[in-house]
Amino acid sequence: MSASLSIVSPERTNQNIMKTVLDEVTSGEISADYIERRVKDWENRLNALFGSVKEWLPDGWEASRGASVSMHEELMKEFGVSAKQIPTLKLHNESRTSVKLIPHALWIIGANGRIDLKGRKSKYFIVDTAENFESPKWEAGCLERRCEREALSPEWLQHALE
Amino acid sequence: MYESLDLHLQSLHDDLEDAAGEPQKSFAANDQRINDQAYFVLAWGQFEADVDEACRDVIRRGQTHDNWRFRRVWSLYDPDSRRLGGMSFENRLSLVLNKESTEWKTIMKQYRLRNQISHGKLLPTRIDVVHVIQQFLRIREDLVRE
Repeated sequence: MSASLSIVSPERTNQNIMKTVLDEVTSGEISADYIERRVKDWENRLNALFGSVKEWLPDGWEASRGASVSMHEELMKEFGVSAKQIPTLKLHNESRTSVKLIPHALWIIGANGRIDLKGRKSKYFIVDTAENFESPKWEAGCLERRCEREALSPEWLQHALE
Repeated sequence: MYESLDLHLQSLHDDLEDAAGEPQKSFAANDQRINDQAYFVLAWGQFEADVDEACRDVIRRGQTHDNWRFRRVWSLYDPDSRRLGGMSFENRLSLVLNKESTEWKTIMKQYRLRNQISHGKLLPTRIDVVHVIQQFLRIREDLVRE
């Protein structure tokens, strides 16, 4: 047997097995430590997403950090994980119109987290369709027509801000 | 119907976020969670009926096979009985969907959730009901009826 064979840590094994929220809620193997790592990963993904949104803003729009919101989802409570302050993003244009991006929930069966975008005309959602701990694959749509979603892009953002 | 109800609850949640504290906001979020799970169970019922119909097609087809050696197995089942002779959901699903497939595993996990909700224990998470229904519709097309 090769000496270079690595021992897979229990944490890593859990990550491999629990690819989705459905896996997580049916595995019976999650722990407070695992929940905390998921929350940290969510915060990182939010910061990266907000960074992309800032770069994609159409002319005349600016972004600023919004008031952070408290995240204390049921799974966190079940495992005794403390509430966490997570970032929001505020977008505003020259005519003082403002739009907020607010994290809605991380644990959703069918998505790896959702952010709500409260626009002027409609309410929109942005969901991560990637597996847990993978690079995000953001998709977006209007909350009134959830079947119609598309990859998040500068064009989609521009449309949502109209 | 689901979307309009959820949107109404979402507005309530947003208003509370602006005006009220954490307990009220949490109350509105809980209503959304219950709404999700109610519609999930409703959609599940429809999916289970689709699985049962596919099973009935398989059984009827088997019972009319020319070769008795093939036909005899299927004669043990009554396709017209309401619960297909008490066959478990796992076996009904296995009759019409490859047990080795990702779809089979996903459905069986969702079945556990459906049972949990139906027996009074709500899930600690939200459900993307529209996504789950789309998944049911896709899998329904894959059910093997022959």
